[in-house]
Amino acid sequence: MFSKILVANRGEIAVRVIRACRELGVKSVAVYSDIDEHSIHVRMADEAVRIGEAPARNSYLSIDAIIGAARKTGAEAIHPGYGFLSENPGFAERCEKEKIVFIGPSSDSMRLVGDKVASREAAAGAGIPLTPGMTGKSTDPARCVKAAKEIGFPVILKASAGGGGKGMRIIRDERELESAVEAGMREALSAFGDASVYLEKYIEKPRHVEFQILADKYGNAVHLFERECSIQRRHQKIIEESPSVIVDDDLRNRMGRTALKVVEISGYSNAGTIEFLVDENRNFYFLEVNARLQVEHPVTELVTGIDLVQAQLRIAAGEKLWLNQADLRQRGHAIECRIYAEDPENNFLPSAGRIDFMKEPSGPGIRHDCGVGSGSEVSVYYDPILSKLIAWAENRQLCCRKMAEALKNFPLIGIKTNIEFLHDIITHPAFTSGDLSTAFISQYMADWSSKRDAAVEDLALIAAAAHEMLVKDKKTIGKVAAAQPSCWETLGEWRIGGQGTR
Amino acid sequence: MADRRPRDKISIMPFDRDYFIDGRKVRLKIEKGAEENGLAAQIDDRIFHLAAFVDGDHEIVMRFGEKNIVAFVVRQENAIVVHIAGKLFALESETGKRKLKRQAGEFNTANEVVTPMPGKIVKILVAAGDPVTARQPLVIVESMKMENEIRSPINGTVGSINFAEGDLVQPGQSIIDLKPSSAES
Repeated sequence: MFSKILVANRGEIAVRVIRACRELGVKSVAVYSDIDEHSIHVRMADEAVRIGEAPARNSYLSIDAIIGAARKTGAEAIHPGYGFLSENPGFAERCEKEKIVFIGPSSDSMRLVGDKVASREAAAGAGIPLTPGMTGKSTDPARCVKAAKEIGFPVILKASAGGGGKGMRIIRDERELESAVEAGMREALSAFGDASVYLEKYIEKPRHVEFQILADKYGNAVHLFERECSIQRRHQKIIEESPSVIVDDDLRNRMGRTALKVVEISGYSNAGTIEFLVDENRNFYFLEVNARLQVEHPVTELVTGIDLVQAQLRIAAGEKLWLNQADLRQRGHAIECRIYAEDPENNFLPSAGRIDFMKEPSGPGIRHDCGVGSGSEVSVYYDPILSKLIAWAENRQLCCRKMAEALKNFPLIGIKTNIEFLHDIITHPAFTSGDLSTAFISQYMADWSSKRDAAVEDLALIAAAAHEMLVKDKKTIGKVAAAQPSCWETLGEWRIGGQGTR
Repeated sequence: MADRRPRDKISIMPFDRDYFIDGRKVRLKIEKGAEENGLAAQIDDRIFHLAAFVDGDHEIVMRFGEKNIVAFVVRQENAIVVHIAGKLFALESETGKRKLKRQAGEFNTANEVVTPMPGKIVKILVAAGDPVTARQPLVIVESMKMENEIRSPINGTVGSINFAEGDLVQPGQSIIDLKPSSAES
C-alpha cells in the first residue's frame, strides 16, 4: 500500500477519498485553489498545497501544478476523484511518465473508453448491443445534419469527449437541428476543448442502468451489480439507486456479463462504470464507460458492503483482486440524492453564497457525504454539488420513506438548494411505484414550485417572532454567536421542564 | 455558570413588526403570555398560545399544548429565514417593494436581469424595446461549462442592454434593465 497519496479534487469527493486514506493508514495531501483555502477537504488532509487561482483551469485542471504538488510532498499516487482531470488521458499519461501512480485505468485504456466513437466501434466489434448512430465523430454541422436525417428523429447529440450531460441535446425535428448542433459544439469546445460531436438514435423514455466494475491489473474483474440513475435534470443524474426495479436476475446476469466483456476488450483496470440504456421492453444498449469513481458510488457500497475507494487504492497499489463474483450479493436497497446549490424553481440555475446554517440529517441507515458546513462559502467557480444524502433500508419502499424523512429534516439556509424538490420526487407516486425514466422530471416535475401550506406558514411566522424575542442580540448571526455564551442563559425563565436556576 | 447574569438583565423583548412573506404583508406580534413559560403570538388578528425555547443559535422548540414543533431560524440582513417541516420561509423586513423570495441568495430584483454567477454571455435573446413575460428566457450565460438561461423576473419591456454577446460578467452585474408593465410597478 502507498504511504502517501495526493487527492486532486475538492468538495465532498475529496473528503470521501481522504477518509478512505485515513482508514487504510495512508497519509493524504489535499490541493486547493485560493478560494478553497478554508474548505473542509483542506482541513481534513494531513498536508495541503495551494495550486492556483479560483478558476479551475488555473488550479484543479492545471496538470503542472498538481504534479508539482505531488513532487513537493512526495506523494506516490494521485486520486483524481470525479470531474476535473479524472478522465483526462493526458493527465494519466503524465503521471505514468513521472512515475506517480494514477489511481484509475491506464492512459491507453482511458483513451479508448473515453472516446465515445472509438469505444462504440470496439463494442460493436465484440457483439455488444448498441443504439443506432452516426459512424465516427464530426465537427462539420452539415455532416451531422445529414446523419441525423439518415438515423431518423428523434436523435441525441453528444460531445465526443463529453460527460456529465455537457453538450448533450435531444433533437426532435429538422427545424431544431442546425441551431442544436451549433450550440452543442460550442458547449463541447468550451467544456472539453474539442468540438467534435456525434449523433445517436434517441430512445424515448429510456431508463439509465449502469454496472459498477472492479478490475485489477492482472485481468481479473467482477461487477458489483447495477445502479439505476434515471432521475436526471439537464441530463445530469440527481437520484440513483440500487437495485433497479426494472432489472430481474436474468437481465442482471446478462448485463453483468456484457459489462465484464467491455472491461475485457478495453483492458480496463481499477473501478469503472459501464452505462446502458434500457428501453420499455427491457432491451439494453451499451452507452459508454465512465473511467472513474462515480458520484453515485455510495449506493453500491451500501448494498454490497464493499468500500469502493479503498478498493481503488488497493488495486492501484498492485493488489490482486480479492473478490469472487459468486460471493458478491446485493442486500437491501439504497438510494442517493445529490444535494445541489441550485434553484429548481428557476430552471436549476446555480446558486452561490454563504451557508448560514446547516444541520445534517442522521440516524440508522443514513449516510451523508458532504464537503460543506455552516459558514461555508459556495463558490460559483465549480460544479454546484454540495453533498450526497444516501439511505439504506431493507427494501425500496422503506428506503424511500427513510430518504423522505431525512430530506425533510435537513435544514440548509443561505443559498438555494434542491432539497425540497428531491423530497417531492421521492414521495411522488410515480417514483414510489418505480415508474422511472430519464423523462421523469419533464413528465412529472415540470414547473415545480414549493407547495405552500397556510398552517405551516403560520408556524414559521411564530417561530421567527419567538426566535427574535428569545435570542436577545438583535445584530447579525455572527454577532449573536459571539455575544451568547450559553443558550441556557438566553433561555432564562423560558426553559421547559425545569426551574430557572440549576 | 460562574458569570451567570442576574435574571432581571435577561431581556425578553416584546415584538411587534410588519413582515412580508411571499409578497404578502403580515403583522406579527409576540409577548409574554399569561401563564408561566407562555408566549402569546399574534399573526394579524389571530392569536396563538405557546411555550418556546431556543437551543443553540438557530434551533427553536415550540410547544402548543402537547404538540411539539421544531424549527430552525436564521436572521439575515433583511430577512428572517425559517426552516420548518422540510420547507423554507423568508420573512422580509424591507418595505415590500421587491417581490419576495422564499430564500436569500436571490439576485434578481424586479427591474433588472442579473447573473448570479460569473460567466460569458453566449446569447442575448431580446432587443431593447421588446415586450417580455415573466420566466421568458432573456440571456444565455455560460458558466461552469453549462449554458444557463437567465429568465425575466417580470412582465415588462426591455429597457437597456448593458453587455454584448461574448462579454464576461460577474455575479450581481445587471445585464439587462427592464421596465415593468404598469400593473407591476
